Amino acid sequence: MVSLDCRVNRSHVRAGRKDVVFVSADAKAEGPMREAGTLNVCLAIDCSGSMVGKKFEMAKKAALLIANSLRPTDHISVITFAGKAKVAVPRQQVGDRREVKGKIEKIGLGPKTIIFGARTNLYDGIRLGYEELASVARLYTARLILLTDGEPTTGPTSERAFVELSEKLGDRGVSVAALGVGKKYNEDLLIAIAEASRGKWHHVVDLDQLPELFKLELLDMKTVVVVKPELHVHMLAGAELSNVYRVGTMVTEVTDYQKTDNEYVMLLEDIKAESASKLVFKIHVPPRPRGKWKISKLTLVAPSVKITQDVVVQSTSDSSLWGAEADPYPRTLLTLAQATVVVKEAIGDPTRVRQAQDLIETMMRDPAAATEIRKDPSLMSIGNTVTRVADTVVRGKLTKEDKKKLKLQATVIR
Amino acid sequence: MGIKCLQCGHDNPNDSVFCEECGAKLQVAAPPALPVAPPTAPSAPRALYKLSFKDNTFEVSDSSRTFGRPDFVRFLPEKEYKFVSREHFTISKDGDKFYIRDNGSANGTKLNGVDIKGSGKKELKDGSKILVADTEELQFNII
Repeated sequence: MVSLDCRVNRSHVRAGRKDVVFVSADAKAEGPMREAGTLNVCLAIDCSGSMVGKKFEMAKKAALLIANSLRPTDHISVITFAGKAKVAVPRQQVGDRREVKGKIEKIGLGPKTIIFGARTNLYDGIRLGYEELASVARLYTARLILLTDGEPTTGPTSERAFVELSEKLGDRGVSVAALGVGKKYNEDLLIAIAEASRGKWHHVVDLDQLPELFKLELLDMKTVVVVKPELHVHMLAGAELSNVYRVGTMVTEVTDYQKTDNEYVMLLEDIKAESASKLVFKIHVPPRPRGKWKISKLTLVAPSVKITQDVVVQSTSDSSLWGAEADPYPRTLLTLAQATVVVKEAIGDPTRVRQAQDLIETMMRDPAAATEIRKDPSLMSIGNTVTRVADTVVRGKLTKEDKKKLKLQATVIR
Repeated sequence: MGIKCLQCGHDNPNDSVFCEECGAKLQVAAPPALPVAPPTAPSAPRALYKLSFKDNTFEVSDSSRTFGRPDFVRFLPEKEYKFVSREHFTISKDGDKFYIRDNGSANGTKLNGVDIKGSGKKELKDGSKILVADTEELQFNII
C-alpha cells in the first residue's frame, strides 16, 4: 500500500575523516486507489464585520457546496467566529443533506443569529473547530478549512499561541487548510498555522474561486492514504543530523523533531495518491576506519505501516571512490528546499533572495544536479517556481498584494 | 592550500570533491550556470500580446486580463500611477481578435485618441495606442 524510497547521495566516504552525506526519504502510495475513507471536515468561517457582503456570501456558497459534495457517511461541522466563536453546525453525519444545508443557509440570517461583530477571535474559531473534529479525528481523515480576512484582534493573538494550537491539531492528525481573503489578513500567521499542522495556506485571489477552492480541499482529502506518517531515524553513534526539510504540498524546514538518544522522530505530510511525501536532510558522519558502515536506519511508521531501510556507506581511502556521487537527487532536493524556504521568508528582502538565487545558480553549474532537475518533474517544478519568484523579487517594487501572491507561489508547490 | 567551499567557507584537503563540513560539491573551475528550465520549456504559456510603455513591456499570456494600478506601481512614479484605477481596463481575446474595455475607471481610457469609457468592448489592432488616465500611453502589439 505504501512504499519508502531512501536515497543517499554518496556510497563512499573518506576513511578516517568526518564527512557529510545527503539523505532523502520519499514515501509514496502504491497500488490501485481505494475508495476514500470517511471524511471529517470542519469549516471555520470568519464572520467579523469586514466579511459582510460578497466575501460572506461566497463563503456560504462554498460551505453549501461542501455539504453537497460530501457522502452521506462523512462528517461536517461549521464554526463561525467574530468577537466570539460559536458552533453553527455541530459535527454530524451529512445524511440526506437537508438538515445540514438548512443550518448552513441560516448562518448570518435573522435577528437572533446575527453574528457579525467588529472583533476577530481567530484562536477560538480554530479551537472550537478542533473540538468538533477531535472526537473522531483519529479514525477519519480530518481537516479544518479556515477562512479569514483579518488579523486576530481578541482572544490569544500571538503566533506562538497559534502554532501551539495548530501543533495540537497536527498531532491528532488534523491538518488546517488556511485560506486568506483580501488584503488585511496576516499571511505569516496563516502560513505558521498551516505549517504547524502540516496543512496548507492559500491566498484567495479571486472571490469567485472560493467554492472551487473548498471543493479542491475535499478532493485532496479523498486522496489521503496515510494520515500523520512518522519517520524514525536511528543514527550510528556519533553521527548527527542537520538541515531537515519536509517537501510535499508545502516546503518547510523541520525544527520540531523529537530526539531521544540516537533516534530522531519527524513527521511527514499525509501520504496521498499520486504524490510523494518527502523528507530530506544531511547526515554528518564521524571519522570511521575503512569498511562498511550502517550510518542510519530509517523507519516509516503509521497505523498499520512499518517499513525500514538502512542507509549504508563505505569508508575508503580510494579517492576515486569517495569523489564519486552515486545519486545527486538528495543533494539537489535539499538545496532546492533550502532556497525555497529562504525565498518564502524573505519576499521583502532582495538581498536574502539573492542568496537563494546564488544557491541555485551554484548548483546549476554542476551538471549532475542540473540533469537531475531536468529529469525529475517534481524537482523541476520547485526549481522553476523558486527561480521565477526570486527573479521577480530582485527586480523589486512590489505591492503588498504582489508579495502575497509571490509568497503563495513559493509556499505551495504545484 | 586547500579547496575553499563556496557555501560554508570551510578549507578542505586538496583532493576533496565534497566539502567535509557541509557536504556541498566543491567547485574547482566554475562552468557557466545553466538555467533551471531549458529554453524550450513546454510548460511555459505562450505570450499572446505585449503592452509597451517607456522602457517597459508586459508580455501577457492570459486570454483575459484586467490591468490596474498594481501593474503600474512598479514602473511609474506615484504622481503618475495614482491616476490609474485599481481595475482600470481589461483586454480579452475572442477568437483571433483582441478587445479592450474600460472598467468604469475614474480617469478614463483612450484608444487611438478616442475616449472609450462607458462604450463597452472595442477592438484592438496590432500597434493600437492606449492612453491610460490621460497619463500613460501604451502600445499594443500582437505576438
